Amino acid sequence: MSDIINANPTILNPSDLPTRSESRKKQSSSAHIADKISRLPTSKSLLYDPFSYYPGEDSAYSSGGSDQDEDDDEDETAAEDIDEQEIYDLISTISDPEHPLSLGELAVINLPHIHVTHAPPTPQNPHPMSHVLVEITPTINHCSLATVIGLGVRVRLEQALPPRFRIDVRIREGTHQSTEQVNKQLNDKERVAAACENETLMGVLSNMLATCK
Amino acid sequence: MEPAQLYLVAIDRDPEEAAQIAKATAKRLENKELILLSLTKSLGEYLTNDDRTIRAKAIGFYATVLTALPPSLLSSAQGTSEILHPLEDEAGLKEVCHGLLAIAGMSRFQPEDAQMVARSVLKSCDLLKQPQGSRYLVYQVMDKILSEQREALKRMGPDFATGYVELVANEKDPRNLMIIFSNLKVIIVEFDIEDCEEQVFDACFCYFPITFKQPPNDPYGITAQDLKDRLRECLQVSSKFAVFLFPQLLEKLDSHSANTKKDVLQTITACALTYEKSIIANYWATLWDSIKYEVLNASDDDLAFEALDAIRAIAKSLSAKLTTVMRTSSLDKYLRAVTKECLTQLRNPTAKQAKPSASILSAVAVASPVAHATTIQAVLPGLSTTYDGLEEIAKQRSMLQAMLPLFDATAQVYGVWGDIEYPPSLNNSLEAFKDNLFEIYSRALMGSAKEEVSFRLAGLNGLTKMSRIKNFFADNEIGLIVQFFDEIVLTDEKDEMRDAALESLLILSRLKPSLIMEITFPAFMAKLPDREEDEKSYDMTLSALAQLSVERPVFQVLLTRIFNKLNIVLNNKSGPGYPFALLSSILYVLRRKHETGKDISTHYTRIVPELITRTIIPLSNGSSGNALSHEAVLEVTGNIASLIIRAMDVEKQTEVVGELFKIFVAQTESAIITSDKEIVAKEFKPLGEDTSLQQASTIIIFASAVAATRREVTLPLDNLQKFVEKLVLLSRTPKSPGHRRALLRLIAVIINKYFTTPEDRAFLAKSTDEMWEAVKSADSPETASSLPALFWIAKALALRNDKLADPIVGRLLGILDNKDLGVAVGRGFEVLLSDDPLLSKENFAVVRLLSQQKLFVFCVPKLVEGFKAASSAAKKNYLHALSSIIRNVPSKLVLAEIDTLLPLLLQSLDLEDSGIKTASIDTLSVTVTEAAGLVSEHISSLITRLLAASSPSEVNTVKVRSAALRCLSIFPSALKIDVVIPYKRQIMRALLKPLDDPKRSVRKEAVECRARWFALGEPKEDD
Repeated sequence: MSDIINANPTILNPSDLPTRSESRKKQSSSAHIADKISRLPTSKSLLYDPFSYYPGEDSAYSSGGSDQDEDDDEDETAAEDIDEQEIYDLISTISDPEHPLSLGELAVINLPHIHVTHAPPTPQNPHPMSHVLVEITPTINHCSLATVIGLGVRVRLEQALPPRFRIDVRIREGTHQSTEQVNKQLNDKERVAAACENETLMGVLSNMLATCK
Repeated sequence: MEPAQLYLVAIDRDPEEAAQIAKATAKRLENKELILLSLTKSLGEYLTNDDRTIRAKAIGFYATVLTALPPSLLSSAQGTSEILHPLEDEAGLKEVCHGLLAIAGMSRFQPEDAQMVARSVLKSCDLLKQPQGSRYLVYQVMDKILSEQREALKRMGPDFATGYVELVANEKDPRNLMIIFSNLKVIIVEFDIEDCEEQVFDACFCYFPITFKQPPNDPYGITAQDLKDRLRECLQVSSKFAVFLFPQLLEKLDSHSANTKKDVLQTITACALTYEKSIIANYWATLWDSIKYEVLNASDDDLAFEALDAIRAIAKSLSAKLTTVMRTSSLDKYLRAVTKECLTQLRNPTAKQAKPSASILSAVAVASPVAHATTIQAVLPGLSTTYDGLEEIAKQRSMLQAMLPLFDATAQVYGVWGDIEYPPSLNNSLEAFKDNLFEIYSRALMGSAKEEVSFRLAGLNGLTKMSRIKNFFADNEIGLIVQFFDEIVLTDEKDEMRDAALESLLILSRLKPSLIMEITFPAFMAKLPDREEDEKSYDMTLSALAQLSVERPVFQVLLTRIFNKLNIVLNNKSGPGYPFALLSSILYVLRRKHETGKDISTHYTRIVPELITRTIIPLSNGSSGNALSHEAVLEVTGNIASLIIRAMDVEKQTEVVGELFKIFVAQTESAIITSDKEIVAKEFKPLGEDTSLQQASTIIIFASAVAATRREVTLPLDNLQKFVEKLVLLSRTPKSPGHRRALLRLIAVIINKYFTTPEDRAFLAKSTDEMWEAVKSADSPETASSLPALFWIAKALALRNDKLADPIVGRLLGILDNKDLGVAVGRGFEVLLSDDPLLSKENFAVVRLLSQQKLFVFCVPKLVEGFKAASSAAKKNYLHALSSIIRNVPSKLVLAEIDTLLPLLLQSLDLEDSGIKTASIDTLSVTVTEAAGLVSEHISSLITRLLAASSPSEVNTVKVRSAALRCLSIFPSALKIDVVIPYKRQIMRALLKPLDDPKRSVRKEAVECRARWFALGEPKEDD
């Protein structure tokens, strides 16, 4: 990779990348203070007293003066489905093989180009198959690294998603001169398996994946 | 025997004795019992002896004698020639030097002597043959005569300088170089070296760059930086070196070593700042040509920074004596070259060189007012034109960002609001562009799409930076900017924008507090609702107000407004949430003020009586009070009172505590109550047995306030023991858990701080004995009503390492297996070691060092032993107690005992208690890294349990699952590969399940954990 294929790509500012909005208390110091000021302690932690314990109650370790954990009284039961943003978070931090930038910053991975579909669970099959489609946009249309990037995305998703997911990684229509060829390579199980046997290639991939958060 | 002879005999056998002999000889010389001539005579035969060691020893004797003489004794010529004579003789070099050092210090050491010494040293020494210790002495001799007889040496002409340079050639020892460099500096500055400039320069520059690395255990403690600094002083001290120095430095700038480059740049900076302006005027062009490369193509921020320093130093040097912009000045020529280059680069503001170019411009702009004016006039018209022609937002953004450093530079030259220094006499050139800049930055901030966060941020930053510059924007312009920022803080949907705008308002609140009070406060207060609504409607606004109110005048305004709002809200029958938030914002500001070192005790009058009165009056009217008597709100009020009282001195505290006791204990009229004093005195009885829950709960405020008193304050009670007894009694029949906690804290505070006399301790021993008797015979936690008090008293005592704590804790440990009380006792241990906000050092409680450790060491063996013997039902009480203790001591302590604790920790993972489980897993996580060997022995059962804990259930809450996965993810890096690799397949397979966990945060941990294990590589097939 001595010759850089695209030496001057357009870069998105990290603050312009899509994020999950509900994590506001983690992002913003001001919101954090707001939380501290306005969040009435739950009766559980306020009235917590080790000497008036009723069996069946959580022992409320979050009380006792440590306020660092108080803010994640998460609702234990509500399920959160794997959605597009979660897929985006998994793969947008992969590094580009030729720039010290993430695929998200280079707009190779874009939130609107990720599609997740869940089949409705039935009593017979409580965990039906799900499908995820990721379309990647190479920085330039003759990018010979598109296959490597696609493979990186694929490997990352295979490691990070539960087995009930069918994974589909494609080059976005019209963004590459040999879209079909690359797509064939990326979704051919045997070719992918063969690629994963190639040590040089795996070395490149593991460098790309090393920055995943 | 002659003393010389005696000395020679003694020196090998006993140096101490030899030294004594020499000293005695010196004494005799001093007392004129001996004359020097006869001494030298007697030495004569040894000085010419064939054996060089004898010669050396003889000189040593002579030198020691001379050193011991008072400096005024010898007349000049005496001794000098004798001692110099053998200088050619390598054997005695060390001793000769000692002698010379002694002679050179004599008051009658004459200029001629100095020249003689110098000549002999320079002529006769082939120093490189000598060990470095001897060379050190020679250099010391030169150093000595240089400082004693500098004028005489100067008269020797260039001979001295050239001689010295030859003498020190090829020296490499750092300690010697330190002396040499400082001598060379003297020679360069004071001696006439016109004929040998290059020679002297080479003698210095041959050491550049210093690559010395300080060896470990270096006895001299000389660092590479010491050497660099001294060498640089030699190079920078004379402008005449420029002709040799700059070309060679620039050559070395091509080096690949970052260290060398850094050294070169720092040297250029130093020289630019000390050389004469006329010299720098000759060299700026070549310097700029090379140095700019280091900024524009920098791969290393550190180097770029040094290069910018050098570029700035050149501008500074060329600015000397200039008071106005002059087209013909060397500064003008230099800056024209710089600005032209940077402007070209900035035409494409998204290119890589744009940002460094902007840094260069700001670097030269801060060099001087004239440099600032020249730079601004040269670049701003060009930058504005370029900006107007840009179409892509990314480019516009980069351009706006590129101009930001120039605003900082202007603030540096012309000061920020509130600076008292006089601004430069030269007018601020940026003013000519003020309106245009205001316009484009405002448009970027307010006139672009909401999604363009970084573009808008650039606008916001520009406006903020320009607002700081003193006398730049008018107040109405800053007022407009403040309005922009207000609007963003209140309505923008992007967190980043809101945070940045608030940050900017904070900056402006320090520079222009009146604008914040006049514009921001009304705008923000108007946003606060009048009645309790969804919390989102006020939390951000309150947070912003609180952050803005740290400055005193602003805080006063905040107080007024918050109290008014509180009235309205309470009249509208609010729930506790909103009043809680209002008061919390006051608490927040007080904390911030306290953290920044401000005296908050002065806020007492405005806040504490006001809040206490408002809380108590409704309760004294027979009603059940309002939102202020909700426990959470009482806590905040208590914290506010506590924080303020804590900051008072003893006298003021005594007064306030006296008043508080009047209200809460004595039931007399108090000055704190601002209205209806008599009614309060009559109707408010929080410590009465038949009082209402609401009145009783106000003890929360009282406990917090009393907890803040200094130990020197005497509590206004005749009998403190009786008072504690009463509190204990009340704590046995509490109105609510919060009420009880307040009472128990109050008891603990009083005992910890005030029960120190033998009588008090006897009282404690007796009453805890009685409580114990009652607890022991109880058959349920309800009847063991003194149990909580016992724990709190033990806590108060243990904190000050009081032995009285041991029997109490020992007894409590003893009933962990009691089938009726064990559970309650196990939970009680949570109290014992946890940090209590009231019983703290900040509150003047006695908290001894290692008190936690002592308690830990006391409890753990008993717990482990008891655990082994306990019935299976009672085991979990031990684990509960253990877990409470472990959570509250530093992990270092736990690790010391981990051998015995690990089995218990593993068993606690099987308990049906999420809290204990999380705590144990957290402890195990530390253990995995810190005690890898031990963990390796238990790895199989540990992995099984952690995997089990990672699957969702009633007990395995999100916290437990996350902790388990996090712990598992430490294994691959913390343990040896052959220990973990056999488990890789099992784990990779098992982790597929948490990848599908219903909770996102757990899935994230699972992905991370799996990636770590995946990275381990493949297990060998035969494993």
